[in-house]
Amino acid sequence: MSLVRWRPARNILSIQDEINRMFGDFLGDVRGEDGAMMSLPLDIIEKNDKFVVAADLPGLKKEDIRITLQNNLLTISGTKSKKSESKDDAHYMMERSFGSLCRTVNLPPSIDHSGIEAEFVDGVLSVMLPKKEDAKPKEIRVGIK
Amino acid sequence: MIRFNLMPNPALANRNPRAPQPRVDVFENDTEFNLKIEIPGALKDDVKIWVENDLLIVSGEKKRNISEDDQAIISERNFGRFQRSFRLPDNADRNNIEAELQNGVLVIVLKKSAESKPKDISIK
Repeated sequence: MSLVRWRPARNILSIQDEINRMFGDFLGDVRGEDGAMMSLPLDIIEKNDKFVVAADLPGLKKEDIRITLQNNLLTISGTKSKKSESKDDAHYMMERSFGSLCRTVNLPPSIDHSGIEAEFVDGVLSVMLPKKEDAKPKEIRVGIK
Repeated sequence: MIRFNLMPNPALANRNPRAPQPRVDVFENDTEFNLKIEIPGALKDDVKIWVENDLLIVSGEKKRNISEDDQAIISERNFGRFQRSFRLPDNADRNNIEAELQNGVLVIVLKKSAESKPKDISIK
């Protein structure tokens, strides 16, 4: 029997993943049709001491992004505005989408809320969610008699 | 799940859902053409822009920054190589092209050649 590492966050996040997948499948058809991006693509990576939520937000500025934490829900929202282009301009290709974006992630209970940090570099938002001390993997040495 | 049986759209034919082509807006005003290409997370050194005959070609790579110990719980973002090419209009000045990365958007500005700019003609 192989050993499977216990990841307490896995079950909780997998429900979100399931929902996202369900809607993703549905929206996938819509997206393919008009080329517009309907939602905000996210990555969630588990590291030894933290989770990292990364989101692609090209064209937004730091001030356009809002991150809120309520109960155990982390919400990333933002508005991508098109105001930099004047109305007189002639458009040849319009594949980019503009408007409001919002995603909510259900956080696992093992996160230290006071230590959450975020950075926005090159159009990618990274939210660092440190794990609580007791949720970090620990090495326990067992002496053999 | 029922999927709609859509006719293949040639514009989307080369889109692989895991490594799609970056989205582009192209527009022009009186003096220049503007291309805005969304490549969030791509670094300046990973992007190459060149002109070949009448084509402006942008290619590069979005690299995934993940180590072996990391566990991906959700991965929806796209990584990998991308390339897009654009046919240059006759009045684009091939020697006057500037590019800049701004918050994950590559902005390429092509100046129009002087003779193609709209001119006001006064009435004698």
